[in-house]
Amino acid sequence: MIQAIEYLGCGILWIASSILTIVKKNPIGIAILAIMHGTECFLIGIKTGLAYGKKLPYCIAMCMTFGFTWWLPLKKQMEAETFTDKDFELTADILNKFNH
Amino acid sequence: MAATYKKNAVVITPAPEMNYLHNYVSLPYDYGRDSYEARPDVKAIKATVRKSLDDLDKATGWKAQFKGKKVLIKPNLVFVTPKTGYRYDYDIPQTTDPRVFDATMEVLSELCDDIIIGEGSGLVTWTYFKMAGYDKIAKKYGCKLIAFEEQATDRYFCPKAECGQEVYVPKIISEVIKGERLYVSHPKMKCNIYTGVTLGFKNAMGTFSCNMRYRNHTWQIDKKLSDLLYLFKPDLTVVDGIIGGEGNTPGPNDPVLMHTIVTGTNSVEVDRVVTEMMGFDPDKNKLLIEAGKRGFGDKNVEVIGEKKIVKFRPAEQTLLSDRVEKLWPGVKLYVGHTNDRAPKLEKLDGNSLEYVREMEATCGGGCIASLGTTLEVMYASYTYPLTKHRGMSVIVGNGAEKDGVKYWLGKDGKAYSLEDLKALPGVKLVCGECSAPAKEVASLAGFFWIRGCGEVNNLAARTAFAMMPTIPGQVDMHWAPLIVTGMARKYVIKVAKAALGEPTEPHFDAYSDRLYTIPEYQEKHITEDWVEAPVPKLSKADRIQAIKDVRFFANFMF
Repeated sequence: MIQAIEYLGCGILWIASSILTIVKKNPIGIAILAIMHGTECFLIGIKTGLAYGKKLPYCIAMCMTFGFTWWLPLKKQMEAETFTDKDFELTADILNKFNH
Repeated sequence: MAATYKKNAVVITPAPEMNYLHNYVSLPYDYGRDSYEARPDVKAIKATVRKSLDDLDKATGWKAQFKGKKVLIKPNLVFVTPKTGYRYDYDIPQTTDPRVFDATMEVLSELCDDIIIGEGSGLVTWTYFKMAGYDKIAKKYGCKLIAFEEQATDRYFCPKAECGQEVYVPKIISEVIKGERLYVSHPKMKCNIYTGVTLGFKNAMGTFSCNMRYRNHTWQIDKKLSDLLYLFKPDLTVVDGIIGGEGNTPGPNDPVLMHTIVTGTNSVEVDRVVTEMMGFDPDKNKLLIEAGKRGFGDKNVEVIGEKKIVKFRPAEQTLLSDRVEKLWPGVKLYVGHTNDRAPKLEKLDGNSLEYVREMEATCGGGCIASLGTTLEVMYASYTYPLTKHRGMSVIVGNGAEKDGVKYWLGKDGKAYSLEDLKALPGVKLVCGECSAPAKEVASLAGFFWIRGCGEVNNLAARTAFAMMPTIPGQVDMHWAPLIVTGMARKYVIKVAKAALGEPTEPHFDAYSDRLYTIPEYQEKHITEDWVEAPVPKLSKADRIQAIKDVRFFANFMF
């Protein structure tokens, strides 16, 4: 849900910046977005996307469009799905919760 | 040629004890990489599946039958529901575990070059393939993925069938029927509100497109599914019992730590063994009784391995249970039937709860079961108010007749006439074609009279309206774009195929429990299990009708 709202927010920002550029001839919005997302893209976006298994052009397109709202959930999922041997131990808590 | 075994066997293989609760519904991001292959659960599952299939091969020689053959493998996806979809902190175990499926694929791919993964979840299979990661599995093994509901259909006539003589199946199933492709059923070990359990041969329900599913999706459902065995049956069954599912599936169910793989060459016998392992008596399961009656079991089957019995919480095919009373106190059932299966109504008050339950069970696999599922989905949804319950009166059946007047029985044992029902407060939902005598009671000028006999999606949709503002389903916007894309894709494909004269399903005609037959074939006294019954070329008017038959959501919904 949150991610969908964030994507929507990003879309609105891009549309508003585009309108500002076209109507008011003021590219400041687009420039800020492009610089911000571009920086994210090269510092962490591409690295995260590639580690997740996405292709480079896809990583660049998504990160330039959605910035951290794209790469942060991927990073969180990767962290959640990186397991150690301990994660596969059948603990008393699990047995109490699910066992019959 | 389909596989023919000199001897059938069922192999029960326990998996090493460990925590298998990670990724049992959806594959992790690193599937296919070294880090995935190094996971202890993945290694254990692969070893268990391989051992089970190797032991089965020693007993039956199934591998020789499969060597170099074309194969169709069908998982059971139903709803793919990671924990984010519902209020629970665990994934919903309805889907064949993709880790187990991957392990089976690894063994099969060593024997066969042409493997197709096919499934019809009943909703948006294309989306569910992606959500669970089956698209990645297909890519890894170079297989084709087929969503059955998007395929054009072939028609068959099964003369020995008790209720489904006319059967439409996706074209790929024709290859199985004609023995050109072997069929592997890969279900999950879980309960089912319609049939008690859903395992090896019940998995074939997923080969039907929606309108075929709704035919006899009633008290006849066990007969209908057993009839299908005349047409085709699994050549190999692999039951994913790593994490089992208990409760009212296909509503959200609960995980059971079974840690077992069961394989076999005769799916009816596999299902009997697994049913017993789930703590139920296979001799009392109607589905297995029907399949046995038709001679599809094998009394000489060899069972290899120890039956570990874990009592699953049964699926309850009733709205008169303590669970319903506790979780949905506002939902009241009024049921009455007059037919040769229903008990006779003797008195208008003071009927016992057992008697009302007997009346309710007259149409066990029909609307009541679908309502049970819908309520479970609602309860699991974030939007259901756990303390402020919504109310709804559910009226089912054509009414139990006494002295020429029709009555519907409440849980209190009292018989309610039409006038009594009209006076009930709140929303009144009248379920099923047979309930037409009570349609005037339905709220919103008849909108809440649910037409069709066993029309599950429509029933679920209107129940959702009746219970507003609760939304029955996963409220996880993360998946929403994929689900909407899947629905749109399915709609476009189905419309395009209908326009080309190759519709993906028959016209909706499930208005009763009748025998679905083809009169011109029935007259021929055919003795085979099945014959091909090609559909005549569609006229322009038929094509237009076929296009109109395609619904974005469900039949009759709007």
